[in-house]
Formats: sequence, C-alpha cells, structure tokens
Amino acid sequence: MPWRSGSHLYLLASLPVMAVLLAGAGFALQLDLADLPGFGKKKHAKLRDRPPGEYAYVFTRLAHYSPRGRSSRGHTWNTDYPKADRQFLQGVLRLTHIEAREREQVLRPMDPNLFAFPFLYAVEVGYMRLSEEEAARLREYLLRGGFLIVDDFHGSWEWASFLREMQQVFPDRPIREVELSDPIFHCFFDIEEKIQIPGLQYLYSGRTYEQDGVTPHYRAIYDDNGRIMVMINFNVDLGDAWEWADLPEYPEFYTSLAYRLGVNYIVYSMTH
Amino acid sequence: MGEAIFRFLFKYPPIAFSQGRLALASSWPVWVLLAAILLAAVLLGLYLWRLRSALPARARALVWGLQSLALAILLVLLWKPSLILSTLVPQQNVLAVLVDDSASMAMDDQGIPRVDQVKEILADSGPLLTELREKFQVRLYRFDKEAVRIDSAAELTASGASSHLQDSLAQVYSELRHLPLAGVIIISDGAENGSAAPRELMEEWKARKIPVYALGVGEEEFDRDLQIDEVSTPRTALPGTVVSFGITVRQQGYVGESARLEIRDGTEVLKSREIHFGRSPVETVQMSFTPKSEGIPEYTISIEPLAGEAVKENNSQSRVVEVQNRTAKVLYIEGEPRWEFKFIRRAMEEDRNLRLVSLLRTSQNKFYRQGIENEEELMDGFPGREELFRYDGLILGSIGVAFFSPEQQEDIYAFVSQRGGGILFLGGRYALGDGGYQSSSLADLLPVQLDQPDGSPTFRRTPVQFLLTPRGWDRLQLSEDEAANRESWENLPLLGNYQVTGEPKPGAVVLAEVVAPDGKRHTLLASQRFGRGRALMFATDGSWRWQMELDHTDNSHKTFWQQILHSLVSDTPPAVSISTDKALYLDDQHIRIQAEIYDENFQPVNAASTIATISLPDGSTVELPLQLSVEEDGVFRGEWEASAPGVYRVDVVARAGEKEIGRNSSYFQRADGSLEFFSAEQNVSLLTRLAEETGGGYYPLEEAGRLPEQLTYSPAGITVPEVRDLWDMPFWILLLFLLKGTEWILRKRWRSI
Repeated sequence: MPWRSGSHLYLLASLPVMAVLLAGAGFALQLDLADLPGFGKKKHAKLRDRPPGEYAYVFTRLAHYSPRGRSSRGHTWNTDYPKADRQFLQGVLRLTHIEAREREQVLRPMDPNLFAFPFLYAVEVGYMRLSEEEAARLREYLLRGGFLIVDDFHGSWEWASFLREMQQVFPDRPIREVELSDPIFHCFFDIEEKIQIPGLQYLYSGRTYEQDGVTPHYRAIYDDNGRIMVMINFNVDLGDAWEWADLPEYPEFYTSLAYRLGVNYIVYSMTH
Repeated sequence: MGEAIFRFLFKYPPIAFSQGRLALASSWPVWVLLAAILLAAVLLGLYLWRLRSALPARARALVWGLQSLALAILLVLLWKPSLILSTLVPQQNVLAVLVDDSASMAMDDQGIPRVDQVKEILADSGPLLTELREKFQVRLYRFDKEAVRIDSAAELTASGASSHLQDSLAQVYSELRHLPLAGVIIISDGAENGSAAPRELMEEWKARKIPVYALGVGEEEFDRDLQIDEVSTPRTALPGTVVSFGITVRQQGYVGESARLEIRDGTEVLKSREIHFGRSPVETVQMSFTPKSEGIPEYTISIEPLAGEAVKENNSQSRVVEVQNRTAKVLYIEGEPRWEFKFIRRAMEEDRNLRLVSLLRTSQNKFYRQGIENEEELMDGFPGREELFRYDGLILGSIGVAFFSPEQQEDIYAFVSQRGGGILFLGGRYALGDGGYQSSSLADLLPVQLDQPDGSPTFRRTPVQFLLTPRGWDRLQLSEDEAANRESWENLPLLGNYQVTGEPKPGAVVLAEVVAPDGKRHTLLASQRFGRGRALMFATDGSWRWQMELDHTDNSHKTFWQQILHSLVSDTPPAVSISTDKALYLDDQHIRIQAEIYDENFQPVNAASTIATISLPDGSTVELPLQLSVEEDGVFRGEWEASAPGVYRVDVVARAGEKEIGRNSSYFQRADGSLEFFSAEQNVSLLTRLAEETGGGYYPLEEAGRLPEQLTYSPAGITVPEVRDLWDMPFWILLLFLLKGTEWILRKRWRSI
C-alpha cells in the first residue's frame, strides 16, 4: 500500500470544517460593515425602508429641468439632496405620528406615479424650466389636491423667472403673501414670526440674504376654497437648514425654525 | 255531475249524509237482525253442503257467500234503514245575505259589471230569493267598510271606497246573534282591504255551527295585468342625498315582456327604467334619484300600461319624502395624519348640510381640531357623553381602541344603540383588527366579525379593485344617468390598500368587496342597524387615489363620500321626534301619532306636556294633546281621524313646565278611491277559507241555485229532527241485482246447482 487509509480520513474530515469556515466568512462579508462597531465610517445609516407605496407619507423631490450651462451650475433640482431630505425626515418621524418613509424619493414631472404622492418639494426654482406638458400636468396635480413646496431661490431675477414658469401653470391665480394667521402656520407648531432662514453661505458672509433678496417672503397660490396649493419660500433656504443641522457652526435657532416650518407644511398638506 | 249520480243512487245529497245520522228505524232490536242473518247463513251453508254437487269446495263457498249476502241485505231492508236529519223549520230562521258594494264590484267581467250580475241573481222576483224566502226570513245587507241593511238588491250601487269583508261579517253577526241565524250568504269578489275578524267572534260562530256560504263574483284571475304592489321609501332625506325607492311590480300574463317604470315629480320625469318580466310574478327594482326641491315633494311612481291590461288604475302610486334642510354634525377621530383624512375633509367641504368636525392626533400629545364652530368645541379632546350625543355621526379612523378609556368606549356604544347615531369605522394600520377592537365592546357595533389575528397585520398594502355588490348597485350611485353611473364605477382607479376582517354578520348589508391577490374575497363596505342607530365599515384608507388619479373635474370621490356620510346620519333621530304609523293612508282615516321625547342627554322624558298640531291640506290646524304611553318611557301617543285627501303636516312641541324641551315635525299623506283597484281579482282563497272554517261552502255566482237546498241541511237555527227512509234507495236494488246476477252467471258457467 502506498499510503495508509487513515490519512484519507483526515483529509475528508477537514473538508466540512473548511466549508463551514468559508461560509462563515462569506456570511460575515454579507453584513454591512458599517453596522459593526469600529468597522469603517458611518456615511449613511442603514435605512430599513420598503417601497414608497407602503408608507402613508413619502418626501418627494421634484426633479425639474434646469438649462445646462455655467450660469446654472449649482442651481439644480438636487441641491442639498439627499442629506437635507434624510435629516428632515428624521425630524418628522421624531416629532409627529406620521408614518413617513426614512428615504426620500425623486420624481420627474412626467413620471406616471406622480399622482400617487400628493406632496412635492422643489428647490432652486429660479432656474426651473417647465415645458407646456409639464405645466399642464402640474396644474392638474395641484387642482386634484396635490401640494407643492418651493424653496431656496433668491433675488428679483430668480423671482421673475419663477413667476414666468408658474404663470404657465396657473395663468389666472395670483401669488399672495401668507398671513401669519393662516392655518399653515398653526396646524402643528405656532409660527409667530416670519424669519429669514439663511443658507450655508451665512457662515461665510454673515448675511442672511443672497443677491438682492433682502426681505424674506412666505407666499402661496390658493385654490378656490382658500386652501394653499403651492407654498413659496422666497429668499429663505430651509433645505440648507435641514442639511446642516448637524454642523455646530450653523445656528440651532434657524435649524429649529426650518424643521418647524417643514413639519407644519407636511401636516397642512395632509389636513387641508 | 257526481252529485247527480249520488242523488240517484242514494236518494239524498251528500250533505244530508254528512250532516245526518244513519239508523235502523224498525222497532225490533238489532240483535234479532244479526241473529236472523246468522241463522240464514248457516242454514244456507248446510243446504249447499248437503247438496253434494260436483263443484269444488271453493266454488260452493263462493255461491254460499253471494246468496248469504243477498239474504242479509233483504233482512236489513226489513229493519228499515233510515237517515235522521235536523231540518230547519220553515220561516222560523233568519238568513243574512251580505252583498259587497265596494268599487271593485263595478268592474266589468266579460262586459257585464259585477254588481249587475249580482242584481240579476238577487232579483226580488227571481228564483233564488223566492226559494229562500219560502224557508227563511231573509235579511239583505250591503257592505263596503261597514254593513247596512237594504230591502232589495236594486239598491246596490258599487261605490264603496273599501271592502271590509270580515269587519262587516262581524258587525252583522253581532246584530243577529240573539236570533235563530241559520246561515249567512256572502256575495263578493273577496277583494278585501280591511282587517281580519276578531278571533273570539269566529270561535263563537264556529261553536254555533252557523255556515257561511260564499258566492264568488268576478274573474278568478286576470288574464293580463300589471300592478305596482308596494313602494318602500325613506321618510326623510337631507338635501343632496340620493333617495332610493324600492318598487315591487306584480305581473300577470306578461312573461318575457318589458314595460317602462317612471318616477315623476309633478310633470317632470326624474328617473325612468325598463323593467323586464321573467317567470316570477313579482319583481322588485331599486330606483335612485336626488330630490331637487326642499319641503315635502310628492312623487308619482307609475308603470306604463301594456296592451290588454285588465285594470289600469293600479299602475301608479304616489309617495312623499320630506327633504329637511338641517345641518348634520359628524365627529371624525383620526389617530395619525394620512392622505385619506385630507381627502375626506376636502370631499365634504362644500356640503352645506353636513359639518365634519375632526380631531386629528398629529403627535403623541398634540391634537389638531378642524371644522369646529368655536374655540371651546372639543377643547378637552374626545368629548364626554353629553357633548358626544349632540353629534349625528362618528367616524373612527386609524386609531386603536386603547386610545379610548372604558367610559369613552361605553359612551360610543351608547351613542349608537341609545342615541341612534351612526358610526363609521375606517381601515388603517391602527384600525379594526390591528387596533384591538375585537376585544372591546365596540366589536358588537361592527357589521363584520373581527377574526382573532394570528399575529400578521390585517392591513394589507396591496392595490385592489373596488367591487360593488348587487346591494351596492342599488344603494350607491355616482351619477343619475344609468349609463354614466356604470361608466363612473368602472373607471374608478384601484384602492391603495384594504384591511382583512371576517364574515359579515347576519343582519349586515355588504355594499362592496375586494378581491385579494390570492383570489379571496373580502368585505370592504358594509352596514348594519344597531340599536336605534347604524354602523358602517369601510376597510381601506386608499380611496383618496380616486381623487388624485382622476381628472380634477371628476366628482366620483366627492359624490361617493357625500353619499356614505349622508347615509350615516340621515336616519339619526333628533331628541324630539314625531311620526305616524303609516306614511300613506289609502282609504283609511285612522291616524296613529307617536312622539318620542328625549332630553339633551338622550334620556327618555316622561314628565312632559306634549302637544301635536296637525295642519290640514286646506290650511286649517287642529291641536291634539298626546298621552304618555304606559309601556314605554318617553313615548307619547294620540289618535285622529283624517278625512280629506292630501298631505298633512304634524308639528310637536314638548314642554316641561315653562321650558321647551324641543320640537319637531313630520307629515303623512291621505289618498282615496284607488285602493279598490289593487289586487282586485277575486280572492277565492279568502272566500273558500271562510266557508270551510264554518262548515259552509264556496260556489261561483252561476251556481247560486244550489244554495237553498244546501241551506236546509244547516245545523244552526231552529231545527226539527226528521227521519227519512233509506230502504227504497235504488242502491239496494242495484246491489241485489249485482249479487244475484253474478251468482246466475257463475252457475251458468259451471252448469250445475
């Protein structure tokens, strides 16, 4: 005999052991290392989320078209995305009973699922361009009961541009200042003052305004029953306040106000 | 025919044998007869046995049998068999003849009005009356709603507004009960629209064995006729509510054909529909429409007469529905902000007759109130019993039962069962089975069983199609026009989710279902009555998609929710309510009024002075104080006679001392003259039943000539016993011939003895 039969046994016995070890290693690799203490930096917390249709509320960002070019760099729909959205949603979940999805979603105006999400958020609307089709769709969306928040646009040039686009949607409806007594400022928190919430640039410039947008304006387009369809936050930047909530230098005062306004907007959209 | 043969064979009619008694009239005792028969049989037997004939024993036995039988018969005849009867003494007894004189008797049967047929039969000089007058004192009556004595049939006019057959019979009986009444003849078509006779009277009647002979007039069945049997309607409605009429149509002879059913308000046609007749004689259809005018509009429901109809007057009926201009208040408790809540509020925004007050729990400790009238309303959250009872309806959204304290749960239960409010349970992640309702008393309110959960949530977030059940098609509509209605329901987008519950309870009405992806059907929209109120369930929170996914001009979502909430509160009683026992009094003047008086806590009030003011169609008013009923708390009753036709209004005011507890009003309708045309074919079963129960008989009018003889055998009245011979019945002769004949034939065959 070349070798003893016993040696085969050892070889065979080691195979299952190796298999188990390999499996265990593979299993360990499956885990998100970020969850294990000490393994890598926590970039984004693991979100336990399901498809949007399974939640009562999903924060939906409108991916509007902005013209390409140097002038509009930095002024696109995804400004502050996704950190602002995520952090804001954490606030919503903590403060209210709303069954909100932890992850935001993004929809284009022509997306077939648009009508399943009656809440929309759009930023940098000074650089937004709506086609005729998109304007009609938005009009239908709002008249059926949808709610749109626009945020983070400053100065008279951006306003004029925004006004032009909105007049495609609602040629006959005026844009009015929202009174402090309006239910939108009292449906969850009571907002007693209209404060200018600055963007991150405040930390460098010391000014709460950008360009020539010195005065903050909270404006809206109303429907025939006096309900707000479009909430316009002009010369303020709620998005930045949500995004930089975890930055120690950004004043907590503005962050809190931004959260309070945002939560009020959501509660308003779900009650009116 | 059979009777004629019977009479030939047995000399007397069958009734004589049934009434009389058989006996042997000879003075010789019966035992002698029996002995003689026995003796004859034995002697005969001995003789035949001795004869030693060639015949076998069996044949001889047969002959012996035949001959003994013949001898026996002859012997029996010697003993004079007789029939003992009681016969009426002529002229000692009274016979009442009641003739129906109501409007249904004016109808033609094959060209001759029924009343004329009767007049001919009952002519003073006619054979029937003459024969009857020989034997009885005949009293003639005519009756419609009561019986009146007349002298001759010529006085019949066939103009009475109703036929109260049994009441009139009872009336005549009480007049004549101390006289020797031999029997009663009723001549009628049986089309009765009064009440049944009191039982005690019928029992006494039967004990005295007074027979009722009924002569039926009129066609037993119309060949071809359409009739609106019944129309069921709600008494009141809020403006803008859909009112549903349940119309029952009876047809005779029109199987396979169709006719047009219409509802009119004055001359305007509100709704019309083709109705197809199948094999069944009765068809019920639901027709819904939205009343346009306020107040008390009168609607006429009619079916177009088809060719060859026997009676056209029964093709229409009218009904009144009170459209009240009041604002109902509904309280909506919602546990979390969600889209369904927003869109329900939006759907009810423009409804002037329903105020939706909502309490939304936005966070653990925050509540948002909407629709409140003043700052104090709902200031302390869910209201106490007194404040809760001021609402007409309650909606529970996605809120677990643990939110309500035990007292609050009791208050909700009493709100439905005692106060008579409506409750709507919506679906949601904290609602129904997922909200713990199965272990609370509120589970009794739900129109479905809440199955014990196996741990998995009952709220399923899968889009499903809303499917109306047949009952749902009747009760809910998205559009007045039938075609547009069908299209609107079919175009509804999918619901976002559904909630699994259990089986519908026995009294529940299931209006809509969903089909889950695994193919199982689940109840979606159901309702049931509970106590004085009602409970609805809509096991979804995804109906808002109907608004977001259809054009903004489409009103399906709004219409649906307005109908659901209106049906929730339409029947909720106010604290003080008044009603009459019927909404429509056809040829009936007796009005029974009932008022229910509750205080603001919905506790019945007994110490109140309750006065009803009746406004007549001509504008005059009558005051009627109502009396407290001894059986029930808070119930006051009164009665009144209304003669003129038209719509009457009844207002009630309840006072405790100087303070007014409350007031309310209702209405009723009086109509005349048409009742006779409904179910006017001859009611044979009623007449036959009357006759059979009393020992009389039913005959069609043509056979009236048989009556006098039948009546002589009546056991009632003054009678004398009479012995009638039976020995000369042709029957015996025939029997003897038969026996002897058989014997002779047999002997010829055997060629012996």
